[in-house]
Order: sequence, then structure tokens, then C-alpha cells
Amino acid sequence: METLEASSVCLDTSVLADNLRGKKETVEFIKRLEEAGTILSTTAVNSFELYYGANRSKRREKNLTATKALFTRLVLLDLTDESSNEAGRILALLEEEGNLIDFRDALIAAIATTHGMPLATSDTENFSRVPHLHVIEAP
Amino acid sequence: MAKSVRVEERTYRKLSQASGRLQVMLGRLVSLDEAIWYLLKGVKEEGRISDLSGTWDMSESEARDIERGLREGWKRWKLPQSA
Repeated sequence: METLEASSVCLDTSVLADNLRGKKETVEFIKRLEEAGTILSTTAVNSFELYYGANRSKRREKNLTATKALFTRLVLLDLTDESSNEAGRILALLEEEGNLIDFRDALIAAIATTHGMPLATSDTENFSRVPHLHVIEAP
Repeated sequence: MAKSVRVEERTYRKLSQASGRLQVMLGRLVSLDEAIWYLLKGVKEEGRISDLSGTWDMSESEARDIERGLREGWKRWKLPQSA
């Protein structure tokens, strides 16, 4: 099962948004993952952020259509009882260590770890503080 | 440790078809075991996300503004450092 898990990657909001906006380095990064046969996923938290972005944008309808199309091609990882429990554990642990991260980061990290997936993000600084989370640096 | 699972002929056919589609999508061999795993994970078979690059119409400044709004929104949920 380890090989399968390694062939799946959870993508953070900035990676998905930059891909949708056509940022060259990010699109190349995504293409490399796709060409390696990687299953691409994201979390319900990232989904919320992307829909917020599309809804707040000047070209709302166009961007919403693109966002909906994106989610027909991604595995969407839900916030489950198990991942909620893990997010609470991560946040409390880092708080005890005086090493707080944002709530969103704890939720995303917990969803990725409970599904056994690494997280590809451009924000490696905060996520690297989360124990047992495999972080992949994205452009 | 591997376990044996008995399935009906029609289920086997569907699994083989799903495995074939996944092979095309992923560009490599996919076993029935792997196909089941992917199906349970909810893998979609509707194309690559890189094909959607550039479909958002949003300037850099607009994107940064939205990102800032989100960051500020999440910060309101932040625990106090002294907690």
C-alpha cells in the first residue's frame, strides 16, 4: 500500500489557484505529477477557499465554471471524524510547544495525513512544523 | 497481507474496464487491486487538471487581494499566543 500512497498527492490552495491562473512554473509542476501517474487530490478546506476566490472575483461566472470543472478532476478529501480528531490533536500539540499554526493549516494537514498523502504547498514553513506530515515544496 | 475476494462476472468486467481507463489516464499498468483502491478513494476519470490552466480570469493583484482576505478571515479564528 505504501507505493500507492506515494503515488497520491494532496494539493494546497495556492498550487491549484496558480494552475487555474496559468502560472507557468506551477502548471509544469502539476504536469510532472500527472506524467508520473500521480493521483491528485485536495481537501474540503482548499475547496472552500477556491470557491470563495471564484465567487469574490470580478469574472465570477467564468471562474466558478472553471472551479467546478477542476473538482470533476480531483479527488476531494473530506473532513471526517478521524481528520477532525487529528486536527485537534495537531493544534493542541503545537500550541503546547508554543509553535502555533493557523486553523486552516491544521485542518488541511490533518486531512492529508489521515489519508496518508503528502501535501504539495508553497507554504512549507508552516506545514513543516506539523509532525508526520510529508511536505512537498511547490513553486 | 493479500486477501482473496470473490466477485461476480459483471463486477469483474466493470473492474477490468475501470482498470483499463485508469491505465490510460495514468499512463502505466494498473492492477485490479490498485483499481479497487483508486475507486474507493473516489478517483475521477475526467481529464487532467493541467488542461484547465489559464481558465481562471484573475489578475495578480486581484488574486493577492483575495488571498489576503482569506488569510485575514482565518486569522479571526486564531488562538491567542498565551493560551
